[in-house]
Amino acid sequence: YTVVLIGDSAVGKSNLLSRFTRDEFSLESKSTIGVEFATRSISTDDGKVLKAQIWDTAGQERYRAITSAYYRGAVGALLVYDISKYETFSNVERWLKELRDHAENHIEVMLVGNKSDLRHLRVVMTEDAEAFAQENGISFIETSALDASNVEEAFSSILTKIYEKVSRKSMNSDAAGSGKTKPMANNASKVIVVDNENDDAAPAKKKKCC
Amino acid sequence: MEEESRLANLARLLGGERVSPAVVRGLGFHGLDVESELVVDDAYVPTGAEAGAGTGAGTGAGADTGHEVAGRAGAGAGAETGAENMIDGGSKGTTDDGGDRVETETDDGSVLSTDSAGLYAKYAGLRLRVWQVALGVLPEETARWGAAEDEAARTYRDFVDLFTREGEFPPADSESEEFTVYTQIRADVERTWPKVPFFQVGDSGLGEEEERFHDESLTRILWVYAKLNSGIAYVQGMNELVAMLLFVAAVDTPEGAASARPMAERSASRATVTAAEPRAFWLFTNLMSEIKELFVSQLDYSDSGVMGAIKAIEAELQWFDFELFEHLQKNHIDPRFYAFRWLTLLLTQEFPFATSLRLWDALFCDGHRFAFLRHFCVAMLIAIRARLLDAEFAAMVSLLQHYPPEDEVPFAVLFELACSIADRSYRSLATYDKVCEGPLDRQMGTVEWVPFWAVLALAPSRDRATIFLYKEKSKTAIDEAVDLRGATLESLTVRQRNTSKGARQAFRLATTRGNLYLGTFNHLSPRLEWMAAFARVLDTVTALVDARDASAVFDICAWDATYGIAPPRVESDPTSPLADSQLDAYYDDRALWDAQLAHWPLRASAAAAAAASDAAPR
Repeated sequence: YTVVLIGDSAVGKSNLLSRFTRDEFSLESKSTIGVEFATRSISTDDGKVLKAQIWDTAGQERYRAITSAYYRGAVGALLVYDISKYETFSNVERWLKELRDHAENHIEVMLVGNKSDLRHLRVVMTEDAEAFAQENGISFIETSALDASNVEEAFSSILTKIYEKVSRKSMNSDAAGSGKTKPMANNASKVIVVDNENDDAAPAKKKKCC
Repeated sequence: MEEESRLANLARLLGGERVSPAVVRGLGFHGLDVESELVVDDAYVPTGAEAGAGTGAGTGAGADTGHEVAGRAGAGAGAETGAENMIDGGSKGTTDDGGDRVETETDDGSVLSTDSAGLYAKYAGLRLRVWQVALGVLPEETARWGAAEDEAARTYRDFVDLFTREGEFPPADSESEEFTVYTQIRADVERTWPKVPFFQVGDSGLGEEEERFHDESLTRILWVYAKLNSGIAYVQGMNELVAMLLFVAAVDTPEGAASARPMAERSASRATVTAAEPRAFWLFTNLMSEIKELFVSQLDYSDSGVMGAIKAIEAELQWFDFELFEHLQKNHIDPRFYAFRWLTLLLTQEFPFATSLRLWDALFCDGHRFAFLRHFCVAMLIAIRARLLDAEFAAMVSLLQHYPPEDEVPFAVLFELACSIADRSYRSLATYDKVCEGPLDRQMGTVEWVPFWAVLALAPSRDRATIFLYKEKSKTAIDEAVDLRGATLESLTVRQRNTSKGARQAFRLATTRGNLYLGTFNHLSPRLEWMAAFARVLDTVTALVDARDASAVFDICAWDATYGIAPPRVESDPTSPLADSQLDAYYDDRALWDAQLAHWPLRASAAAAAAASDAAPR
């Protein structure tokens, strides 16, 4: 599965990625230029091994033309903002539009409020983000790449959702197929807004597919 | 066993038994001795050799100018800079005491034992000046440098005054575009080269805020640039470029040299960094004038934009290594995955800091502006071809985004490969591949590698140590250089070529081969000052190589002959360059080349190599 990390620059995308794939955090990470890539496998409850390819993208506007190419083919997106910087949250809407314009219609999106360890600097309230996520039909979680809280949950939750969606789809369309690394590609579907609850790794959500 | 004997052969061919790793390290991978400490194994230190008079003079000059620079930084004025003095003083010294230099050399390469501090002082400012001239910040005439620097500094200060007024810097209106630019700059500046001592918050006890003066300088430079070039403004990644430039402007000074540290490990005081700001700004401005297309997203898909540049890399790869090209394509490795960052950041993220500095020398001095960058990128791909061909998608992307470290893929190998590509020399490329027969990158680490540029500096024609100096004018300068060189390197012949074709050829020979100082030379017109600086650098190299075993160098030069491939050469006059048409015929005729390869079975040549090296003089 291909998952992209998007969001304003310096919200901690790269550290989320390194925390998840290598369990590392660096206070001294550099800005991402273009895209970076890492993989990790997780296993689902039913014992399936999900292999995730995660693309970390540059935050700045200038790089969108380039990075948007990676949305294509992505089945999931973690849209990251920084709970201690309000602009990064207000820009979330623009990022969503970016996804709608460039990504697969049925991409699974999760809003991620990162840097939850910076409690004293919080300016984006959890409730606001929750409400926003609800409105837009995407899931939501707060994480801290620094203290590792919820990072694992965020990734595994989105991967599980994707997995369920894909296996459901392949069942429905029972056209053999077997997703694997390139599960998307075709499937002409309209824009489908995912309805969802929020928070937590609660799976069991589905959405219709064509 | 066969494997071992092949490696042994290769090592012998490369002079591995005779060349000390320390010498290789000292000379080679990070550039000139300015860069690396010249630590020489006991066994290799010529007995009784001490730093000669020349070195003493060099150190003296360094100290003098250090004094001046310090004064300058304090006063914020003053036309003279240390480096300029160094060059001036150096040239005069060299011309005047040619005798000393000869002595120095007959002293069995006493330069060898020169302590690194002395060498640093001797070459302080060289890199900065080379960059400044190569990027057109300073004119070629050294006499005008003082005035030019003054004016540049003044202009920059004016810009700063203009753009950093209260309420504008940082911008007060948090809704404005300006504010976004400013915050972006800040966010990136704070995470620039965190692992390089220069940029680290040190332990001066001043506290983090106080020590963040590098950030201030970087921010100011980027901000002024963004204000002046609002069409481009600030693009992520520019911070990395400015950082390199500011770094060199601040530490490649007599003051920095006095720290007796390799360049990459130096730090600088607030005053020095602030004083270096104007230089860094203009270096950056001029650099951007050459590569800004890479940063403008509207141009992304034009030929000059970043995608155009990426396509050019792909095309070059396709031509040089079709198998690899095809493999990458088949596996959906979009070149944007790696080449985007390689290009826009001029490879700063892929190598250690010191290596990047060395690489930039070559990039800036490239006669075919930034074509060498492309060649180098292609070389980076080819150098790890075996691994790439083995790998699957994810592994390939990881490999390309986290390029293998230097002990696995030596910089010199990449460099030489890139130079070969620049020369469009299939011969050299194939050499790497065939000699190692397979996973080049896995074997190179075990091989002692004589610095390619030492070889090239001494023997670009591969059978004689001949250096061509092509120049259309400045006969006097050439003659003087001949004298200089003649006094110190008798094996070198200096010739003048008055044709533009000759000049181009020399460029190909020198510049694209990354021989910085030789290349700079041709690029800049051989001002005496530059010649002197170059000659001194070359002396050091020569002394080092001589002191080892000169035949080691020539062994390598004979490498081609050993492997039965004659380089194209006009027999009647070995010193004259090939006509362009001849070269092109040779290089463009793939069939001819393939035919040659067909007669080149490794085992036969290995046997020949063994025989040859047995016969070779020790």
